[in-house]
Formats: sequence, structure tokens, C-alpha cells
Amino acid sequence: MSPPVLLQAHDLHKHFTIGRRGLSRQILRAVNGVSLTLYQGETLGLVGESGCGKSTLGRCLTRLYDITSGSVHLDGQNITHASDAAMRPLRARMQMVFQDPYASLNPRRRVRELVAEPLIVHKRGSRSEIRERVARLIDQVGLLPDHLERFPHEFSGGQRQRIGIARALALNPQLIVADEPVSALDVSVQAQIVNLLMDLQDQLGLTYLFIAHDLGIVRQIATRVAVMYLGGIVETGPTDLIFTRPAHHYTKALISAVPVPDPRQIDTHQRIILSGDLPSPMNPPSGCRFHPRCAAASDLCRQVEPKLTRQTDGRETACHHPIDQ
Amino acid sequence: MLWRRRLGNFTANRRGIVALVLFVLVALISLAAPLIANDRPLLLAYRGQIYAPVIEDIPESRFGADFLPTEADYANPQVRGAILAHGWMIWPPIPYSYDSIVWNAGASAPAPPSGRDWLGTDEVSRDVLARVIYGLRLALLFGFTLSIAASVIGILAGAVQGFYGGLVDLLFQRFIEIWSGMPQLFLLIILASIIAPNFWILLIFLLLFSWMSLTGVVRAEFLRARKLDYVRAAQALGVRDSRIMFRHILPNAMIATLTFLPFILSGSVTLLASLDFLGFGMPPGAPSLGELVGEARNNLQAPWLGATAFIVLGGLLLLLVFIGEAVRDAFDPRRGR
Repeated sequence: MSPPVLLQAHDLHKHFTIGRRGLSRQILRAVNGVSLTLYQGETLGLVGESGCGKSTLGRCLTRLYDITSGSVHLDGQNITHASDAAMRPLRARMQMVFQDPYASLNPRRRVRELVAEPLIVHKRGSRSEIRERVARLIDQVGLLPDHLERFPHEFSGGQRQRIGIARALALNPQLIVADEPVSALDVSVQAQIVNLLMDLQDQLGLTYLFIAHDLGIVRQIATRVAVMYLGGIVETGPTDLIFTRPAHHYTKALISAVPVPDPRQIDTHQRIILSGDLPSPMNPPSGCRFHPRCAAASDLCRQVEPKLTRQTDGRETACHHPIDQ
Repeated sequence: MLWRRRLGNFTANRRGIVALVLFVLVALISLAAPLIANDRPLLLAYRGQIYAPVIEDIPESRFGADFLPTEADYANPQVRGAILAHGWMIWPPIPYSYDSIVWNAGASAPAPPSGRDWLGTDEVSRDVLARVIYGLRLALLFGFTLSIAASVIGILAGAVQGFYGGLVDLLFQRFIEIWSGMPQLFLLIILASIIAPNFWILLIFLLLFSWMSLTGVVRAEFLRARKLDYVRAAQALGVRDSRIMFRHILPNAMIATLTFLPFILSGSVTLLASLDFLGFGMPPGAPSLGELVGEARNNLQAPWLGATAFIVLGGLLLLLVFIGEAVRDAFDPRRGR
């Protein structure tokens, strides 16, 4: 029996209008028909190349962007077109951690103010209660009490990301959407932040949507993985299954690009190098969006778009010719 | 740290600091105008009792039975003699207010500078120095009020425009283009023919047009900032738009605003002076620098009028520009540390 559903997106689209030439508009389909389910307590790793729409999807799910079409339900409640006022109490249950810890903290505010802001805005307790809560949060993310009166520019990238995590935790959210939370950090610091996120999940029972392009980190933290390509999800399933036996040709190519730590394995390791560039999301290919770069592409792939279908082993794959298991 | 560096930059600018000191001095003198130039004594003693005519009105009959119970005219030799017979008077350094008539100037008005009227008198025989001091006060009060009110409105408008962007920005921008094309002066001439403008009417009227000077800068700053991650982070936290605008973005946009302020102030002073020169400004009789310029033009045989107007107005604007430049340089991040 699977745990209860926390967040569900159905056939989500997000289109941007890019420039206008006379009367015609260019439309960029950043997210193009994504259906996604997040179960309570899990970590869903959302992976894909840069520009495939991962961040846009994350921002749509947290309603930082208006959704073009489709629906999003948080805990059974439809938030697709909820107004700002209706979203405000819901935002407390769904927080974000941003990619760049240098840009996501207002340079003019002290750590105390940054972490207290959500508590003040949502009127959680009196002044002294907020003070206590901020001190607890700072301790929880591994910072020291004397850091409270400092400004963001006095911290390293890893410390700043801890501040960002403390701010996201302040309201006791159920879901945290982490948009590439470690990709701006040094490798040694990345591991610390990932461990912090995993510890916090154990303590607080958090659910993560972990957006990343670093597959190694996703394999470490995620319980399930969703692979995105050009605005759509091509494969999703349990992390181990996806990493060891990918069924979609794109997933396989993506995973083969992960560097192998053991030099003795390099000979047996087969790297698939995709030909061509990521096609423009303004003018996506017909049929399966991956077909121009796929070795197994057939006429069917060029004409008919494959649907995400559930396989016997629990994964879902959108491919006409999945790799035999 | 940053502010200390900026303050250091500012104080390192010799010209700026001298200009600021002089400006503060001029501002203080002009704000204290009633104590410096007045046609009433600061203090007087009469039959053992102390009066302060600067702040209280005293009926003339108090100083003798044969005077009328109207407000005392201390310049009147008879009143003066009656008071001095039973007490004493302390006069301000300039014994004239901006509207007091100088009698016995020794020459027909405008009279040249003398020991009594240091800058001479104007065409209706009023002391020029007294009028300059009161005129500076009016110019500065008007300039400050207009600049601050225009900045507040301009910042609000620019903030809304930049923060919401898109269609709001587009429509607002077109409105500003049309509104800034309005012929301000002609509208003011029409207004002046219907009602006599006073300080507040003039202020509100000029405010209608002068708020636009800051809108562009603030709009640009908000357009940039609204896409920054920390603004998105605040949105994700559920912070209200108004709080994001004024607690998160505005403090970062204030620098651009602050550096503009001295220039807006000098613009306001110039505007008032030119309106007064043309006769569409303050009501007749009000002490104004622009009116002095007008009198100088009508009385070319009295060069002290023109010289005074030129030096006072030019000096004031020069001080403001020097201060503005120093502030701007102090905030420039490319300048030394």
C-alpha cells in the first residue's frame, strides 16, 4: 500500500510568450503536459538537462508562476488557480529552497530577520516565541547563535544555503521544493547540505521535490526519480530501478553520462553520446520529442507521441520501444 | 560598513562638505528669519514689564493713553519715544520685515545700499536684505515640501509600475508620456487667471507634474529586482506584495532615489523662482527671489537689485548642485573605498 498523496499535478502546461513579430507570437512550451504525484514522506528527484523545464515545473507547483492549463492539487485541495490570498495559508505547507544562495537572501537583512520573516508574515506567535523559534531553527541547520546578527555576505555559500533551509523550515512545511539546492556549491559542501536535508527529513517527516541535474546526488537522496526531457516527463520510478535498468533511451543516455568513480570499470562502462542539441522548446519535434536524437527511433516515434504508461515493475515510461529488461 | 565608506567618500569631497555647511547655515538663517529681520523688537521693557513682540501682539494703547488700541507700530517715532521713555527695546539686526516700508531712505525708491539698508531697497521701498532672507525661507520650504511630496508619489508610482510590469507598466508608461507632454506653464497661466495662487495651491499644482522625475529610476530598479531570487523567495513564503515592495525592494532602490534628491530640490527652487519672475507664482507682496529678479529687470538703473538676485539665486543653486554631486559620487560603487 502506498502512502497518501501529498501533491498531484495533472497534465500541467506552462507556456511563455516570447517576443512578438507583428501579430504572430512565439510560444515557448516550458512545461508541456506533465503529470506528477508526490507521496507523503518521499523524495522525488526531478532530473534532466538544463533548459528542460525542471525549475519551471517546480515554480508552477508552488504557484510562483501562473499555470497555463492543467491542475495541481495539494493534499486534495485544488490550487491551480487559487488567488494570492487563498494561497497564503497554503504557502506555509509548501516551501522552496533556491539554487543560488547568494541571490535568494536579501543582502540588506540580518539572518535573524531573514529567518523570522515567514513567522512574522504568517503571524506565528509573539515576539519572544518567534525569537525562540528562530534560535531553534538556526541550531537545527547547524549554524551558531552569534550568526543571527550577521548579514548574508558574511557567510560562505554552504552557510547561506543553511540559512535558506532554516527559512524554508520556519513554518513547519510538509513539502519542500528544492530547486537545485546544491549545484551552486563546492562538492565537499554539497554532501553536507544533502546530509542535512536527509537528516531533517528523518526528524520532521518532510516530503521533498528535489530538482537537480547532478544524477549522483539524486541517486543518494531520492526514493523515486522522474526524468524530464523538453518539458515532459519521459520516465519515472523507484531510484534503484531507474538507475540500474533504465527503460527509456534518454534515461539510459543520461545515466551513462555519470562519471564512473572506479577506473577499472571504465572499459566495461559504455557511454552513450547523444547526437545533436536539445531541440528548441519553441519548435518541438513531432511525435516523440526525443526521436531526432534516439537510436531506436521508428516511423511510429516520428508521428505519434508516446504516453507515460505504467510497466509491470512499477515504473512509468513514455516510449514506443522501451529497452528490454 | 557600506554606509561608513559612503560617509567617508562624502566627507573626502571638500567642495561637497563646504557646500553642505554653507547650505545648512543659509537654511538655519532663513528659518530663523523672524528673529533676524523683523519690524518688531525681539524684547522690550515698558514700565518694569517685559514683552516679546516677536511672538505676541501688543495693542499700541498699552504704551500711552493717547494711542489707539490697534497693534503697535514700533517703527513709529512717537511709539518708539513713548516706550523708550519708560524702558528699553532690543531690535533684531535688521529692523525690517519683508513687507515693512522703509521711510526716509534718503533717496527715491529703489534706494542704493546704505548703512541702514545693507542691500538697498526695492522699488516699493522695502529692505532688500530682509526680503532675501524671507525669500530664501520661502524658496527652501517650498522646494523641500515639493521635492519630498514629489519623491513619495514618484516612488509609489514607479514601484507599482516596475513591480507588476507587463500591462500595468505598459499603460502607465503611456500615461506618463501623455501627462508629461501637458503644457504646464499654459495651464498655470489659465489657473492664475481664475484663482490667485497661494503656497498650497501652487504646491499641489506643481506636484501634479513634478512627481514623474523619480518614477523612471524607481521603475527600472523594481523591474530588475522583481525577478531576483530573494523576491521570489519572499513570494514563496507568502509575503504580501506591498511588504515585498517596501521592505525588500525599496531599501535597495533608495540609493538611486537619494542621489536624485538634491537635484530635484534645486529644480523645485528654480521652478518657483521662474514662476514668480513671470508673475504666476506666489501672490504679490510675498517675499520671493523670482520677484526680486523681476524688479531687477524693471530697474536697470538700480544694479544692486540685479546683483543681489543673481548672487543669491545662483549661489543657492550652486550649493545644491555641489551637494548633489558629492552625494552621487559617495554612492557610486566604482569610487574608491
